[in-house]
Amino acid sequence: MKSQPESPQTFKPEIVLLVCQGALAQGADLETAARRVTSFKALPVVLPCTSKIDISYLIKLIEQGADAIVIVGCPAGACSFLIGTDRAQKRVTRARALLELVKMNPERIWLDRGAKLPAEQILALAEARAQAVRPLGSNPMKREKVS
Amino acid sequence: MIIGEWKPIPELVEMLRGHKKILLVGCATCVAECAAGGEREVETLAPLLRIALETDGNPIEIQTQTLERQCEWEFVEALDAQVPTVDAVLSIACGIGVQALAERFAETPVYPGLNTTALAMREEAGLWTSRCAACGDCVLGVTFGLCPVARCAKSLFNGPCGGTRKDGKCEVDENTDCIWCKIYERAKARGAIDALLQIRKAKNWGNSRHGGPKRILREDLRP
Repeated sequence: MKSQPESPQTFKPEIVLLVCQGALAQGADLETAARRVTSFKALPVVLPCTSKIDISYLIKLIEQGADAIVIVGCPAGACSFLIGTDRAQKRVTRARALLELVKMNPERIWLDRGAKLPAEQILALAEARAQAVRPLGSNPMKREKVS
Repeated sequence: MIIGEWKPIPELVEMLRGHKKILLVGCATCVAECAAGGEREVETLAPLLRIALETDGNPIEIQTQTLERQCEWEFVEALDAQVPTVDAVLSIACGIGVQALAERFAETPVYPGLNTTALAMREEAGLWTSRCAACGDCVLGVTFGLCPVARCAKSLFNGPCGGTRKDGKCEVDENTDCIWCKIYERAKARGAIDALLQIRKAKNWGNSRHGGPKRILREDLRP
């Protein structure tokens, strides 16, 4: 079922957060912190490395209705797998180009970098992306909630 | 391996417009190696096409399958039950795979999702280059293992065209080696430049694309 158009003021984007465990502070409880967010819906997934992300995952998440995807990887030179986030960056670039081919705004996929960030800071990155996609409105592919 | 690339998305959308339920079929052999038609690409292209068609006002159900090989009946028959349940099939195998599906499932439209490009090898990660033109009369033994038919921009068979750049690249494309320059260098390294000056018998081009469809028949292998 298609969602009704929402105003940018009331629209709560669903932001999928794909976070490298190295970008997250040790012991940080991202899931609990995400549940406290009210201005957007954060759906966090912690990964061993952002290089685990395949282009197909990103496209599928958008196809299933995510309003945006924020990938948080390690800073250059700080990746435990040396080039993990660099690989993720290339895949993000390709996925954004593919979205453009199907007339979907590429700003819905974004990569940030940071090392050992507390959960609140990760969510601040997601909040920034939520602000960026609010003017775009809800993902036109949205049917049910992304789970 | 056989290499290929996705057809442009608008061309695929145009092919599929009007269909309600399609099967997107990949091939886990050559075109998976060149990142065009394997399972990953099937699972990337399917959601892209759903987005393209749904936002275009033509929502579509896309089922997905990836066969080990689309060019062998033993693998293709795995689709026998599924194909009759869909309106059309989109194959992202090479042209051989597309034709195999079209032949087995003659009642159902089968569309090509790839442009099959060449017989190639992976030169480095993310770069595939042509190595063989399947010309049917291999000359690699006299060209020091470098194919002028597949790798010269003009398929020149008897030496370079004179347009070689100073850095040994092709005048047609600065990223491509002049293969005759490479053949000369390899001959020189082996101390065998004289071999390049020998008069060769005319090549049998009748075995290449100009000679009509090819078939190989081996009675000893037939049932």
